[in-house]
Amino acid sequence: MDIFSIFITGLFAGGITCLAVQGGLLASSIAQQEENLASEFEKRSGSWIPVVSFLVARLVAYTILGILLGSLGSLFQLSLTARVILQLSAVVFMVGTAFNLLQIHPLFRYFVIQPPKIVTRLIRNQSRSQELFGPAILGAMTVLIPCGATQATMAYALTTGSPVAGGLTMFAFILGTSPLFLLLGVFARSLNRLANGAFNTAAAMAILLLATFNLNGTIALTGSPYTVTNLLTKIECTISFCSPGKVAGSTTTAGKPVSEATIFITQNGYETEPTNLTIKAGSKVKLNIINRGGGGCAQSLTIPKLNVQRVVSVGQSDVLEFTAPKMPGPLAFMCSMGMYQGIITVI
Amino acid sequence: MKTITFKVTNLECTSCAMSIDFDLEDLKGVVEASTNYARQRTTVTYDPELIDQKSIIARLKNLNYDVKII
Repeated sequence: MDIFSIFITGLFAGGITCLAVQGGLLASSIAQQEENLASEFEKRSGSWIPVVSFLVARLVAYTILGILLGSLGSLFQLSLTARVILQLSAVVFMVGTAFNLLQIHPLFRYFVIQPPKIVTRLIRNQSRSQELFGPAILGAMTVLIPCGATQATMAYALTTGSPVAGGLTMFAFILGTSPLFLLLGVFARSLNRLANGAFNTAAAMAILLLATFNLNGTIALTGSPYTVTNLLTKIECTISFCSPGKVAGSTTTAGKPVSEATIFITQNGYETEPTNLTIKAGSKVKLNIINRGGGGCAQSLTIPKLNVQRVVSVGQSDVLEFTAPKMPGPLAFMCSMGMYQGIITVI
Repeated sequence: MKTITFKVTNLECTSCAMSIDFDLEDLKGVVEASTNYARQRTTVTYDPELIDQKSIIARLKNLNYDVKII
């Protein structure tokens, strides 16, 4: 999922679910600041400063949290099984969060992590602070009380397995939630129980979309061709014409078999040289991996069937030597999240 | 000091649970309010000389929550 989609999710769905309590705290903090301001004019113009400082500090804190989550997730890059388990757990957590928002069953309430009382009390006291930096500190502290949609995004940031991608994910999401806080923080003073059914449904749908996207990658990582993308492409190919090989992991056009080839990691995924990468069953193969600017998970090239993974940073290269499977068929390779994929045909 | 536990339904998120605690603790005489979102329960410790059960329930109902004493 790209950063822009995450921003849009935050903009339309994330803000409302966070507003119930964080908005109330912000309103309380603004009220405290205003007590210090003398004139009515100061009161009106002055409310921008606490709101903006609250939002900037909140954005910075969540970005740092995203970086930490991405770094934590990178530990799971070490083994393919660990990655599959991590991604699957994130999918279960996201689906649970979404089902809770849709109020499908009371059991799903347990998927939402409630902050401990000691934390909420600390934050509440901070909302009553009259210090100049009170709202900013409060904004940063909201990192301790993430709401449902934010928790689901945090799970996604963890699965990116990269500090940069994790940080960007949280930055984009929180930035998306900010306009609503800005508008209501500046122009409205009472923000009570804004989270209602319609907004919760929108948030749930956005989370389910993120979960499906993650599930797709997880299935791909297990080496199975039955990914959501492939199923959708198959349906598309059944009802209209499409070129063979469009379905990753299924039929591909075989080229001339080679014993040495190159995979380029680019901004848009993987490119191979030769384009139709074909190898002979059971033969020794040398694969040069060159990273020409692919960031995030694309840097971790994975071949699930062979249980191998190579992390190649931007501007770096590596060589992977392996013995081709004895059984002819497609050999899928992908990034560590299963997002970017490619095929080697074994004949 | 007295402690009472309510079942509070139609809580939409953990934020609502936090809001309930914040609101109840604003009432004079309420020492502590603790809401568990998953179990939909609020436990309130209060000073009966300063506030009665009725006022606490009224406050919760005023916030549009359905309340039942357990």
